[in-house]
Amino acid sequence: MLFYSFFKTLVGKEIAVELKNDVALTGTLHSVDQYLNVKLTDVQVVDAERYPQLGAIKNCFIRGSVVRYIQIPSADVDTELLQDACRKESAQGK
Amino acid sequence: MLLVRTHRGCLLPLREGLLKRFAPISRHVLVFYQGNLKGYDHTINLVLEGCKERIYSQSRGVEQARETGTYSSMVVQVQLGLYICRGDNIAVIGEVDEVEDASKDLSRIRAEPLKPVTH
Amino acid sequence: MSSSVEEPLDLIRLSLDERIHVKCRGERELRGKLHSYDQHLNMVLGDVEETVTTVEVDEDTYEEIVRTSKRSIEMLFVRGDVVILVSPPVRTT
Repeated sequence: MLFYSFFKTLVGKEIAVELKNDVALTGTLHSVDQYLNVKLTDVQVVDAERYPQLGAIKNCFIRGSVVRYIQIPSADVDTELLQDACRKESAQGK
Repeated sequence: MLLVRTHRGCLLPLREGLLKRFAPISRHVLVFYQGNLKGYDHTINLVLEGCKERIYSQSRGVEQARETGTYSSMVVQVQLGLYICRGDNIAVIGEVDEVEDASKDLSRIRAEPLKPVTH
Repeated sequence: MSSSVEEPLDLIRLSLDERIHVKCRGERELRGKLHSYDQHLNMVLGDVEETVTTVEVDEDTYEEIVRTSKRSIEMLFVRGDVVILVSPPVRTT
């Protein structure tokens, strides 16, 4: 649940989602769920000319399982807080 | 408005506002399905009404299928009717801007195949 | 909290706030500072350098042409299912 909570703090921020088929989508993080499925608004496809199939998409849902990376604006991340949360979660898991 | 119950018995706010027209993108290379979303579950299995399959190609454009379902060799948009898509195969579900979509001349669109999703 | 290594994930816990090396599927390698991870090996890395290796075979000579491309990313979430290997920093002590 660590990353679910983490992504909830990033709602409203601009992120870039790179999928496992090398397609990358940028947009505003609208919401996230426990599977780390994400919903983006104001979606733009990176390298849109190459993927005219995705042209008419403004808002989209991305299945968590097809995500490879998510680029996050580093200014919006409190890394100390994140590390502490991670240590707590790992201690709880035992 | 369609109510869809998830396994936790609640509506996920994530998909709110997306219950319109959908274009789920199969992870298998170049097939796109478009239709009215009638239902889904937590594994993102979808029920699509009036489903259309669009096959994009590098060498020729996407053409509308005839209502009868018969199509010439050039036609690569196929009317499928009611379809159930298994969640595993779905990568992205996008809300289609119908006006923009209708304004596109499908016969002029060329697209290279998407790479398969490798898990 | 103990600093002993009893299970594999403990090794990763000890790498928090350190630069680690992650090998991923698709001939991708990442180097970056580990800020967070979970039991699936989902991770958040900072100041990441990604190296992608592609191998092309020359059609005529069957020679293998190896290309590497690099890019830098400030902050990156990596989904655990693409992770193959995590290597903690080399410690001299």
